[in-house]
Amino acid sequence: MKRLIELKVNGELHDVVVEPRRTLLEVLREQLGLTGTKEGCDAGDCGACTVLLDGKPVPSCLVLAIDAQGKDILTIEGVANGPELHPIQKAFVDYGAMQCGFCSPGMIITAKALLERNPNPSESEVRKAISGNLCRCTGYVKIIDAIMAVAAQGRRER
Amino acid sequence: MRVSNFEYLEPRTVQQACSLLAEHKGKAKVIAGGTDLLVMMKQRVCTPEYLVNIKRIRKLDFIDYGEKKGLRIGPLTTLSVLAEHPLVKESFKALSQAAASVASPNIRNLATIGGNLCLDSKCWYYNQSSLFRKGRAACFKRGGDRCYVVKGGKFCYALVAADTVAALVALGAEARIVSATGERTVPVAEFFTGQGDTLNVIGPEEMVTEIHVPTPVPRTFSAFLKESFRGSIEFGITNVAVAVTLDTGDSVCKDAKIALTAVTSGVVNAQKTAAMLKGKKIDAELATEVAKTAVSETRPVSSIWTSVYHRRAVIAALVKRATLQAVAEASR
Repeated sequence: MKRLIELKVNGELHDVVVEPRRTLLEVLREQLGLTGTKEGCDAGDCGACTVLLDGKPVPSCLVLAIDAQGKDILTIEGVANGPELHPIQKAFVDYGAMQCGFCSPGMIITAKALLERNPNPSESEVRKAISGNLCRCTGYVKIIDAIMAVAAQGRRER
Repeated sequence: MRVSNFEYLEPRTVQQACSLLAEHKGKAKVIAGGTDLLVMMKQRVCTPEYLVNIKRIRKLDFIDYGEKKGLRIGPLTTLSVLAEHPLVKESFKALSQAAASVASPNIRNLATIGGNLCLDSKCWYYNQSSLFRKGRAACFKRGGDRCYVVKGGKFCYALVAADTVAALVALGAEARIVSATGERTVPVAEFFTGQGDTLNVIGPEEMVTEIHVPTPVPRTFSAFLKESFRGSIEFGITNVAVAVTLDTGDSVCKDAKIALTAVTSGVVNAQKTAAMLKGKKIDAELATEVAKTAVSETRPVSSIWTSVYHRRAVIAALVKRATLQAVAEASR
């Protein structure tokens, strides 16, 4: 039986009517029109669907929408500050960390959570953090470079 | 892939959860993190009519330690929290390492220790979409009459693949299991039936409410190693956990436990192998000898990913390495 639930996405409250079996990924894309979060494997293994739930990166294809109530959900659409790109997004552009771009929303979300938790990661820590986000295009090198560059920039600013 | 249809029940207490499980016996499944269950439901490998969500039950998410009572872990504790907990990292290292090796970092933010303990057995034939499985007659685990892992096999050889189970057995852990009619405590070493389809001793109307790891004897050190083809996401082809207790003066081994998962349909509690370490000072030579016995005590099966021969070599390598790693902790 469908339920009326309230989801807080990128700071905004949304009322949606959902069956219990709908995943957060489905609701974000199909009911809220937030198609920045991608469906890759739909089994939690590729990371394309990564969103932040109360600041923690999770595969949204494995979260039931009704379980996401009362939590702060951040999608890729909420990362930029209006027209101004987030430093991670800017670094992804500057360092050539995107080719087809399909993994990028998930990568950027995971990277954002990493740098908030650990502003000064080693390369090995970056690799571990993104080990649940698969990229078929870039070979990961530029992605890691971009994330390390943002960390370095943060150090210079501090 | 849509998740199969179900009715979502949200009890607020363990009692309510158990009475719901009893009421819908056989048709209801507990859901915690859902990182394994939802995938199986998308594949139509299992299609419970009711999901009993235990995440709204308070006080199932905790890590408590006391000198006498030992380490008590709530089943809803996520693997990422467990892996990073300073006390677990310090004194129950194998458990921290095992929790840190499950799946991927983002899955570990949802996946729970209770879920990993109760993880369904894994098989390349069984854990596939319904379209894939339609191509063949049903196997034992699907209520059929054959096993595709062991041709001509008389029962189900699906593997107990959970990483944390190996560490829990090596550390002597036990699980508290509760139902509407009572509760019982089962050592994790006795939690599995040894057959892939019956899997474990938890009944359909029961749930795990606590995992208890006894206070380790002083100078106990442990290590966990997992071998898989890729560095992340996958189940291991072999998981090994070793715990050794060393004498204060001369580092002679007083006690040892060795456990393996992902190699059989149960957890291997390699007692014969572990006994070989007792009363001796552990060095590379002894570890190599002991590793050979571990292989013969394990009796691994083939899988699509690794032949028996390869698996035996991996078991020997990991048992040796994990033993030496645990001993090396002593000098840290």
